[in-house]
Amino acid sequence: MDLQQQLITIQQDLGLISSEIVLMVGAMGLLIAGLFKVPLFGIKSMAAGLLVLAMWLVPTTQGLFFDQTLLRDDQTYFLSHLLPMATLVVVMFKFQKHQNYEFYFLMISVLVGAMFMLGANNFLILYIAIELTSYGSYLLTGFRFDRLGSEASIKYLLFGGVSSAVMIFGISLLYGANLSLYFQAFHLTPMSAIGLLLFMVGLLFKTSVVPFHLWTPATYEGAPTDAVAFLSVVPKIAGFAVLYHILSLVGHLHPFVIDLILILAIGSIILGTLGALLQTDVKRMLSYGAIAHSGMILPLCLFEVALGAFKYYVIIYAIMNVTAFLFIQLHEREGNVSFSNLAGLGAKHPFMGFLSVIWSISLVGLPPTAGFIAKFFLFSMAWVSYLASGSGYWMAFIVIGVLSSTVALYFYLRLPYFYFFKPKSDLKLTFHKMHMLLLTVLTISLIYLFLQPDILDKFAPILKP
Amino acid sequence: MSAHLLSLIILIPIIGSISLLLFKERQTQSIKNVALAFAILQMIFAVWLVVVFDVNFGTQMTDAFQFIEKVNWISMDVGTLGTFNIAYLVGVDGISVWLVFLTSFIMLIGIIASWKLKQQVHSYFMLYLLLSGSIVGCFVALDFFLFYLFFELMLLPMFFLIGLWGGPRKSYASIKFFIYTLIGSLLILIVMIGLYLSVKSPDFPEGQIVHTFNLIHMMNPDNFIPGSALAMDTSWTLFGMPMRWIAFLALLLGFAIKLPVVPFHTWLPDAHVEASTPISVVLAALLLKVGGYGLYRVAFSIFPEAAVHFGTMIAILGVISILYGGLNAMAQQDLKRLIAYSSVAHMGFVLVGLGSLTVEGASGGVFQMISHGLISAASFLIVGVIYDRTQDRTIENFSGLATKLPGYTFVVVLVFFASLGLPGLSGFVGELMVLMGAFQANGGQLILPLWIGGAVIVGILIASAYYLWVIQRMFFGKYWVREERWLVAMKDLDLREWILFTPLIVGIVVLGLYPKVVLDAMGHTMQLFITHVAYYGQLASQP
Repeated sequence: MDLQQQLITIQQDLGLISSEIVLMVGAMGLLIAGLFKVPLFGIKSMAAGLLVLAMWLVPTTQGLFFDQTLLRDDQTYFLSHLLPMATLVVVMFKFQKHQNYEFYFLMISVLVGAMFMLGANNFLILYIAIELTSYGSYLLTGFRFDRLGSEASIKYLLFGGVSSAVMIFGISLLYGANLSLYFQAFHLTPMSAIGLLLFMVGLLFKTSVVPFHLWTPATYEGAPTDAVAFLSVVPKIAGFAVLYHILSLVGHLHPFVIDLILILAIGSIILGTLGALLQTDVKRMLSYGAIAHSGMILPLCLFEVALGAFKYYVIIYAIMNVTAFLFIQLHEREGNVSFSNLAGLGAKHPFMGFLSVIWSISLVGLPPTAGFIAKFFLFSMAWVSYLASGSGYWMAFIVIGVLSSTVALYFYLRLPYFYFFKPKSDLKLTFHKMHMLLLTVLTISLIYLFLQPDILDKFAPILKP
Repeated sequence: MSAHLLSLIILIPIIGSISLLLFKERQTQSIKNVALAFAILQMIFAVWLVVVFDVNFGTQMTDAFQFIEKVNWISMDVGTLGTFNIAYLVGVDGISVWLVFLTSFIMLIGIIASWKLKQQVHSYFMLYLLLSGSIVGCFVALDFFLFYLFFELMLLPMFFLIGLWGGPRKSYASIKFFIYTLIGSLLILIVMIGLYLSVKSPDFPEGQIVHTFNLIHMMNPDNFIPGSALAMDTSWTLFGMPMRWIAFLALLLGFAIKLPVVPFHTWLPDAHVEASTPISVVLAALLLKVGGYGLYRVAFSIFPEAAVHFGTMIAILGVISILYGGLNAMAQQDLKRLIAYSSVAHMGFVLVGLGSLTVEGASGGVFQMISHGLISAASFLIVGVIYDRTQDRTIENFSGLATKLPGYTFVVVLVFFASLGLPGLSGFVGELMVLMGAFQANGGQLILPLWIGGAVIVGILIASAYYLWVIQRMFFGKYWVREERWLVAMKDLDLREWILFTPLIVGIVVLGLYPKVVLDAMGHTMQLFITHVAYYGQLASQP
């Protein structure tokens, strides 16, 4: 392909990444607006506008583009809406000291990286996209500029750096084995299998799966809450989407790989649920909960058939997490929120307590909330896989995954428990009406998605080839 | 309207719960009135249901359901999992119709018992009505998913009702209750998904496999996909046992925690002791019944051959509950704890009855559930009476109450005698039928060892011992109470309390003297149930 043809291809396909382009240009715009001392409300509105525009511009085309480096299909279409949506909610969080134009600039650049991750069909593009999300994430983590924040940021950076190095080593092996960086060139040979496993390390790190989870508790505790809400949803879901994409390309996985993934998943569930038991800080508790959730999502990446279950789980996970962190951010005054800070608030704010009950039991996975539907599909999928393969690991995953809910119930319910059951405190908190509305809408959507889960399918358009 | 009778009975309390949102916290009296109105309305429909119920309906287990309503709820395509079909499917047979009636009756009693509540009245009645709706929903659901949904939905209001309005160790008790029951229900969830994947709906043409959660379809072994994990001829094994046995045991464990069966009963004394009086009433009279009903509706009906195989084991578990619960009750100082343990013992009868797999035994077990619903409600109200007056319920602290509170003593003696199985009162009928079943099942295909019947008799003796001992210690002898200040508070039953006790006592006496009312209505269903279990149980045992 000569230069002219290449330029023509680029020109033709440019429309397919219009939402990413809008986000990139807009992020620069945020930086410039910051130089002109635009007030924070203006910055936030600008970011929100950008995100809405980006969602509106998502193309309804499917296929491979940009010389086959970029993929568009049902899943990228739906995730390209979900991720900006989640970011939009995070932008609408309450005003806090650390928020400024740079914060939102970084957030949107991480989002751009995540959106490129979704569509990448080439290991190099994927690597650049992952690095783009990582750098922004390291910075966002340290945005409180205190001891905890810096510690978290450094921890995240060090772990991230190592896993990124392992990942690029894996990519080089893959290139050596297949003589190509395109996903579809992948052939299962011993060397490419090792390369793939090493490559997966980077993704497992992003998605905080045991044993690559070590950064998670510190980051969740030290980072500003809105940054945590963002980091626990956007890069994580993008990471799982890539994992899903790559594992489906490999096709029939060796049973050993499936068992390995299941062991990692079971390990995440056990470590996450047990680790959360004794936490006193709410965000730290949620970080272990997030590790357990990673263990739940991981097996969903194994099979093509799981698309429905995968989609539901990530969308519901995103809503639950954003809701939980919004709730916590609203209760923050200075520093972190521990359970004892929330004691007795239920007497003054019963509605707030009611909302906390709903999102808590949704995180546990009990009816009547969407969390139950998500887990229900997950375990149905696991049953099918068990019946198809007869592997005891699937049964172990089902039993441990299901029974972990009882432990999860204990620690997730601690928040409503402290809210309602503990003696009254004299803490005075006021909530802005807009934030209450946002929290209510998010929480109600958790109940609504339980009653009408099929609604998610009805909005999906038929993509043009 | 009678076509939507069941939906009305479920929805009325739930609508009531939502409509309470319109009130403000301080309008306590209006809130109570509205809650009462909704409970009475539900009761009216429940009476109507019992009246129009046709006792001789159906010729086999799977077509014996009346007032069936079906609305497709969730239907979605999930890859090779096929289509998820979840329906709102409700209906009643001769067993569940009585449990629905019992539920609306006890919930009404519970509202009157909560009449003097002062703190956080608003949220209390909202949770209470929600609980009422979900219990009824559990009894009428014929879609496994729907059943499970109501089963879990019960936990949440109950958790808060125990945890917010209970005694000193309420938070410990409520968490313990929640976690124990959740473990049980999660086991049920695993089996539910496995069943779903093994059953195909017969409503679709041959060759087209559409999975279903329909409990009625699950009861018919012909609807299982050949070769699937839970089909009758399954070759799947786990831990060296056929998959169906494992599934049955998981269901058994799930419902046994709810029932509760020794050794999974430890949540019950704590929950009962810490909960306030009306909540104890609901817990004992209704929530335990969900466990027994689940065994009947799900475990036994869907896995008949496993039920036959494990019948003896189930009866033995029941005997252990009867003896252990009874001996524990005898050792209690706290009157409420004593009654909680006696509940454990009484639920043992249900297990023995079901395990005997005879019409008499199983009918006796279900009759025992209904009779215990009335007796335990009355017993906990009895404790409530003395606790309201003195904030104490230690047996030793009272003596000779009969002279000072004759009306109360009359109620106590009657209820306790019913509970220990005096002929002429409702407790006797259930226990007698269970015993008959246990002895009858000795021989033929169903082999219960003879000593089970003997042990049940010993259990009845133990019950008489502790009840009579309590009556003797608390009500006879010289009038004496531990604290001076209690003397003032010791008044006989007031009007509200008489209103509470009268219908319960009438129920206990009527069921005792004329059990035909209930037995006729459920006899037919029970006959079909036993035939179903025996037929498929025999089929499976043939090589």
